[in-house]
Amino acid sequence: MALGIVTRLRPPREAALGTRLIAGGGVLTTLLIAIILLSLSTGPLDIPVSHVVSIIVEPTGLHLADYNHTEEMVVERIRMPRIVVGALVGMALGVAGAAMQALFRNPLADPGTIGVASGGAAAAVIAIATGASSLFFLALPLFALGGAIGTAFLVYAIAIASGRFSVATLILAGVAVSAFMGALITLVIIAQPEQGTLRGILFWLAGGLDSRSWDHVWLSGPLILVGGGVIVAFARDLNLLMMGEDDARSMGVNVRVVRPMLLTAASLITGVAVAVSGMIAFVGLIVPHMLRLVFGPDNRVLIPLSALGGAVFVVLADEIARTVISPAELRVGIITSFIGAPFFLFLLLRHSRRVSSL
Amino acid sequence: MTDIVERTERRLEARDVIYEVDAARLLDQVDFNADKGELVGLVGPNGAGKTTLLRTIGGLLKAREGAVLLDGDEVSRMDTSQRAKSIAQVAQLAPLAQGFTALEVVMMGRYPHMGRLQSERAVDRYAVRRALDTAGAGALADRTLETLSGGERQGVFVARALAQEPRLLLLDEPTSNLDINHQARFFQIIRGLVDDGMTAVAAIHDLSLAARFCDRLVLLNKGVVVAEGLPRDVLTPKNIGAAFGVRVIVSSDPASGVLGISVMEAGSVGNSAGAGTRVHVVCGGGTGARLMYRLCEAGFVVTAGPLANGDTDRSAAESLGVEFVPVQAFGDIDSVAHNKHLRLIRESEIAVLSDVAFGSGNVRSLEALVEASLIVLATMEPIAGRDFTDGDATTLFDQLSPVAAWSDLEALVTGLSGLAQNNKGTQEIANSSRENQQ
Repeated sequence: MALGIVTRLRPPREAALGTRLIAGGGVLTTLLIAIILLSLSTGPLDIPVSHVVSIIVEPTGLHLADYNHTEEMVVERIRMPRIVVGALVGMALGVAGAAMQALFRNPLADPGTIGVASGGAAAAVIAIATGASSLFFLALPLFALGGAIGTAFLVYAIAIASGRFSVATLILAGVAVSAFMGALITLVIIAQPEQGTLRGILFWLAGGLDSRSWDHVWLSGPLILVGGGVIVAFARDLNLLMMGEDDARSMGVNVRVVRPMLLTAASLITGVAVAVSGMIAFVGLIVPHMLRLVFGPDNRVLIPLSALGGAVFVVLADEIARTVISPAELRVGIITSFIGAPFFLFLLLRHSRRVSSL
Repeated sequence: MTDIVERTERRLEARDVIYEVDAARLLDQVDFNADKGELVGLVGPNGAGKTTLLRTIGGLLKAREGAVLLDGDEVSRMDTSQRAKSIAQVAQLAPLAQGFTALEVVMMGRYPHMGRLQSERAVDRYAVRRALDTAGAGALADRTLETLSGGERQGVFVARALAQEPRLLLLDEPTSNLDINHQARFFQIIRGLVDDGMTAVAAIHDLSLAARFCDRLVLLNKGVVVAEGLPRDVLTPKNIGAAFGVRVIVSSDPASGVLGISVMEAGSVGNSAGAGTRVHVVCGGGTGARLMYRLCEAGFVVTAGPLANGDTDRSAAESLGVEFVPVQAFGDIDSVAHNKHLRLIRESEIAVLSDVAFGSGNVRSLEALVEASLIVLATMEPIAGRDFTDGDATTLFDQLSPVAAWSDLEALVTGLSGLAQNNKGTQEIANSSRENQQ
């Protein structure tokens, strides 16, 4: 009898939480796989999709089609790591963007809000200009990562030193530090006499996934998956934090522990993403917004879907960057903004009533 | 501070709570409690410490000294989840996390009852549904927050609080953005919960609303509890005047007994020429109500002579916080009352005699008036027309030597202000000449 009442009372939208997750996840995963297969097969060397699939499933012992050694090398050594790095970076930026928007209760927040991205970029630019980036393999991403983490700590330290730690102080400190880092980058660019180095700097700043190897995957993958996993696990806390600090605390969220932890996780995965891909703009801002329009604001749905959506967006943008003026390449960061901005504005105008409530 | 905390039967007990920010003491030894099934209202002016006290009770702020006990357990020592299962809060302004449906918001209240990666269980959905129904928000479940009116939204947030299954509800001016209809409806819901055993503490701006729905009130001013008790004992014109710095009329609706509080004139205390001058009014039978009101409004410290119960002048004096001599209806003025009347007359600087009629019952108040230093008449009518004592009143009246008479009320108030100033001037001259002689 009691069970009967409970079953009848099952609220429609709450039950739809799982449905939304499965539906959205299904569509985005399918899209991601399709785009990955497309990306693996296109490029200066055209490889049929059947060969691509065959190369991927070969290690399991299944032999689907004959392919030649060059194709295998291109897929496994060149295209696959690049796409995986792109997908990881997209995941990181999507998740970090959604998390920052919830943490700061501000739809304009993006992964770089507290200065991580610009700090990473400044370190990378200095490394390129001084030649430190070619000291050893992976020197550039490691410098960038160091710069990103260092900046995050600096911004935290400033916000704490101000006496009254608040989200507003953190954002303001982030904005100030970002502006400083931006000026530093400009200074390095202006002071750079050599054309080749200058071009390297600008290339890096526009964000790119060219010649990424499996080493980049191993460098970024574990950190992004762990950081992203923490954020997914605390998605409900993010929902409560969106209600404001007092409300979250009175409902039992340990704000003093959870908020710094989530800020650290989001900053870390952003820093890692910047380290392996440069500045890929706009992903963290628009991917969560687009998904919110369709799936609602619940972070338990939004955050996992933002991971998938970010991956789809970056891999797709990279595919376009690689092929549109082939054999030359555009920068992926340019494409994300070129596609992302108009598409976002289109959504904004169509759904302006709902966006105003974000 | 010792670790041994005395066991208590009270649901909520705040003991000598002190809270400070940057050496500013926002709560100073606040001591109060609330029992099971009781709605306690916190009233007081802006900045009195109502919100600070609620936040301290709720564990959002840590008291510098003192303790807040919930069923004997110190709130500051509970972990966040334990606290969230015991105490829930409803704030003044609903948060702006829009896009969520009412149901999703209420489900957030289940947070302390759920594991980290646990999805909603049947018991959570049942608790949420019941909370929505109790808070009268059952029909709103699938609506998003931004489509709800202010009153509906507060209902949803009450439901969210109930979903936590707390023992104590803290409400911080929950109805200050609602219209009078929704204010009453909101508190009816809270009243229903409290009558079923919930304990609630609410900071309430609207004194009439507080008086109507709360079992007890705590009046805070500058972080100190200045009065505590039943609404009608706390909400006296004197208490309100002291805390809010404003003169008010506290009237009790004769039919419902509901207290009504209205402000005379904002910031009037100490402003007019007559401010602070003690004026004693001898009246009765409704001849003094309007007079006392205008005198209070003008800033005079008003007292009144013998007033029988049931007399409209007596209700007026009570509403205005005017001290008077209480006597029985249709009885004589006994010597106790007479002596009190004499004392009030001697303490006053000016005595005013209204158009009151005299019979055997009240004629002694004229006898006392002889002691007055300065007498003013509030009527031009001859005494003979209202003397029902076969001439005794007239005889007494003739012994008085009034300095002035005004039948027009406004002229009277202006005249009294002038007299008061003169009086002060005379005293000052007298004082200085005395000093010169020394």
